Amino acid sequence: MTRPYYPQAVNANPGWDMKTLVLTATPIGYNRKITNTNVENVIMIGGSNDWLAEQGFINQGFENNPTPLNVYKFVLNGIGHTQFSYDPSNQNPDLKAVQASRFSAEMAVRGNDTVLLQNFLTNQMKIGSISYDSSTKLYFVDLSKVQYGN
Amino acid sequence: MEIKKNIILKSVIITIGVTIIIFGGITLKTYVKEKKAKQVYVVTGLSENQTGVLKELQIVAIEHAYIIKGYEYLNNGEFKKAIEQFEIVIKRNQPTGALPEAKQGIVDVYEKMRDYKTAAELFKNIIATFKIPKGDMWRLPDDERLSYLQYAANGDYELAVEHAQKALEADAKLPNHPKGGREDYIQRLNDLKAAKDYILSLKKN
Repeated sequence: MTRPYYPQAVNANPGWDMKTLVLTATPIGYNRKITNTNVENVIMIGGSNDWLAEQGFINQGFENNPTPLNVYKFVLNGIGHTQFSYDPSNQNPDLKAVQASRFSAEMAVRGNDTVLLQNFLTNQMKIGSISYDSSTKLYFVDLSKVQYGN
Repeated sequence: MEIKKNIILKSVIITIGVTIIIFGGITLKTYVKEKKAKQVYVVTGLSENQTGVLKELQIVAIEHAYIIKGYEYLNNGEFKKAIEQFEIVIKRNQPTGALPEAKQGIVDVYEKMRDYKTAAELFKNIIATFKIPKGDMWRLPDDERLSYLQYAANGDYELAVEHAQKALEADAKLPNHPKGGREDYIQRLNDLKAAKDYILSLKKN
């Protein structure tokens, strides 16, 4: 199986005006670089039960990138690798998968607006659904506590 | 909506975009959702039928569009229209991240209108929903903002500016936030300084 090098497509096409990449459950090779200078933000979303998390997520933060990137790394508590989307035709979809999908979608729509992205994040911080570990620079998300309507 | 690859590339190149990459299965597909405001979502790596994230994206993007529109009106000084957009989100009451943003947007409008009293009252209601204790770094910018709105409403210009500066600095200390201060906090501080005479006149009244 060919290992997926997702940033390569973005790097190979510098004309792609992609301000933000939202990488959901996406394995990234160690020390991988993003050379497309249009990219300013990388939002990495992984699951605590994802078997790919340590290989392609925890250890990869684009620290030595040629152009500085604002990297957000979210760990969705209790989410496995197959729970980042779901079959919408299923009458009883996996609730965790629905919650993880919604979270990714909320991140994506704010990807181009740093203020709204950070406001969404801090709004969740203030109700205790997301916590931050300053030593690992990881945001831990309790999807069961994430509120959208308050 | 699934479209051919060349159309995807064209769409991506001509727009400011956001890519979601999901590696979740064997049969990989690429989807593009085009939205208003020159934004395209490229979703790739989804396995067959696992398109729930696209459904969620659609739900969220509809509400988000009102927020974007509201801030466009606000930035153009069309305050009434801005409030209308934010109120649409509140009336629709869809459980998305746009709902709290709409309430914050209305505060932003009243502050921009220099109606500090109303802005402070509305913002106080928002702060009342916080579950983390006062003094926590994640709410400190908001606590400082409430302080400066209240000082401004009372005509205490110097204290208002002092706390607006503290709000900016507290926000700049948060992870992933720009160290030089976030643009909206800088703008609000500048607006406050520009309103010096008006704020001082509130003290006399």
